Amino acid sequence: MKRVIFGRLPAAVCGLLLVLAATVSAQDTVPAGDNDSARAEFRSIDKDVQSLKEEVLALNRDLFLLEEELLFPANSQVAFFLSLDVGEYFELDSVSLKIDGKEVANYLYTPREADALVRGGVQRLHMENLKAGDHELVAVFTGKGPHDRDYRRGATVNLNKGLGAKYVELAITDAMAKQQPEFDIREWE
Amino acid sequence: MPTRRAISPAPWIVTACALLATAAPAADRGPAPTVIEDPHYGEVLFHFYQEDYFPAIVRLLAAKSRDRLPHHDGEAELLLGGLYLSYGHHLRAAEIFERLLAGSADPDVRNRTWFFLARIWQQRGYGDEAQRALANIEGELPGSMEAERRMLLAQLLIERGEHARAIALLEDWRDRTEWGSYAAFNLGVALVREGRMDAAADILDDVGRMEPYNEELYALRDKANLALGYAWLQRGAARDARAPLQRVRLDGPFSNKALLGAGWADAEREDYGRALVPWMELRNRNLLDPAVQEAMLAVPYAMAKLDSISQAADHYLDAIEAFHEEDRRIDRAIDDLESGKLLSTFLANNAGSTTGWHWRLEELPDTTESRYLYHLLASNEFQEGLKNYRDLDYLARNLENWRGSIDVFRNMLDTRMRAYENRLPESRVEP
Repeated sequence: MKRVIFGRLPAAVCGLLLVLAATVSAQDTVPAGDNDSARAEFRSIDKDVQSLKEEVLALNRDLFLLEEELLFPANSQVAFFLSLDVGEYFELDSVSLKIDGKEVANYLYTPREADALVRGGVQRLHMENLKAGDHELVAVFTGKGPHDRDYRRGATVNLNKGLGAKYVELAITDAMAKQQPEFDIREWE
Repeated sequence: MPTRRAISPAPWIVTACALLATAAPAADRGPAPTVIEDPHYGEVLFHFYQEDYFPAIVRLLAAKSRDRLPHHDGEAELLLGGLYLSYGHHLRAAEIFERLLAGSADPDVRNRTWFFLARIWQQRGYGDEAQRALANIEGELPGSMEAERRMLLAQLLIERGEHARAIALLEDWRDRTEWGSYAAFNLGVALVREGRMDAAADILDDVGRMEPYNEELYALRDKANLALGYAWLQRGAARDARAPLQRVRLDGPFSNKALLGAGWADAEREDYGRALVPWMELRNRNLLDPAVQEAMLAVPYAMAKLDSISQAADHYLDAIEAFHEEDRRIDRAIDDLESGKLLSTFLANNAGSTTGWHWRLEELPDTTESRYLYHLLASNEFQEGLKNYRDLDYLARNLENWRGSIDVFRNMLDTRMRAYENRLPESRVEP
């Protein structure tokens, strides 16, 4: 290995350049000056990474859509979304979904996911292929209700599936007047 | 009409959230509620709020390409910009912001956006872009962000060697907060680089004598003293160098360099006996520090000057032995680094489900080579490079996952193709 520690001693004060090259901000120290080529190299790699990200994102978009269209063709597709409005009276732990008596989804929420729902995120809980006609949907929600009480509630609805994709919303809302959560299954119009 | 009242942040706060994940003040106003009308928009937010930026972007791009966001078109575009920025995809983010923020948007949002873009660009070494972004800011930014903006500009100017402009900017700084101290330090450094040593000395001396009230300011005070001491040494003013170097704390991060410099300040005046005091202290410290390495040789150098030839020879032999040992360790560390094992350990210990620009490596893995990497870890360049590496690792895993699905998709497409082909003759026969 070829490595030079320091060429000569007197007055070389090898730390000097480092010290003077440093300017500070509140966050960090940024060395400057003699590392221009390193910066240029970093920049060039960074640009390559950026364009690679762009390509992979585009590929993901295409594959995501392809997968969806292959597995859930538009004429039979039903997508189930879960939303939580405010969430003051209910802390969601889990939800299970049955279609025509058969359980198709059973989801346990992490605190991070529950928080994302409280902040307005909508979860795509499940995708299904359903034939045209009537179907019975049952959702069971568990979690903590007012006064930290364990809460388990169900909601049932009959869904008429026609032609074309359908979006169904499993909605948890705060009923302000009753100071209770409400659970509902409805078509997303 | 939908009756749901799911709450989503107004577009400006979405961007601000993405931008301000590390700087809170602007996000304090709280989100304004908006009804989510398109479920796919809510789905993007679900991932965004979990800081899973990659899946959020993919879903947003997919939904846009299928026109699934008819009610959220404008805000979706702004959200995409915010997501790109959070994901570290800053060039695309800038394109979107340049387009969207040019005219009608709230000037406050526009200014913040440019500011954070400038900060990302400065950290990633895009100096020109960073300066251009700062130039787009109109008026003053709120609170401490304005001080940070000016500091960023000064830093960019110093990096480009435009010391006179940096000096002009910093000289006008009227601020009694921490930012004022940083500004004074940077002004001192810029003046040294301009060759205006007397003016620099006054300023750095002031910073070097301040009464700090937190660790950051203690470090700044040490740094100012160190810079001043070495600047004097470089100009041959060894006598002036000693006082600031002696003010550096003995247990702080800059103490090794200060001890080394203090020794040289004495040695330059041929007071080798006195020079040995800091150097002997230094030689017992961690050999990884270049200042300690230099002290290993400076000690026998001073002894030889004092005519203690045999003692000097002993110390030179010790130094040679220590360097050999260190050399072997470094060779081993280089082998390990080149094998790529270390980087995998980094990512394994800091695994996250997805990637983001705000991620930083906080802890080094416990390996033989880690001891060489503490300094690297503190540098922006290394952290930014590591973020890119981490992102690439995520992309590799993502592509690997899809690779498994591709054959399945192909089979499904083939089956469907055959099914259609079989039906085709029948449908042609039918009238």
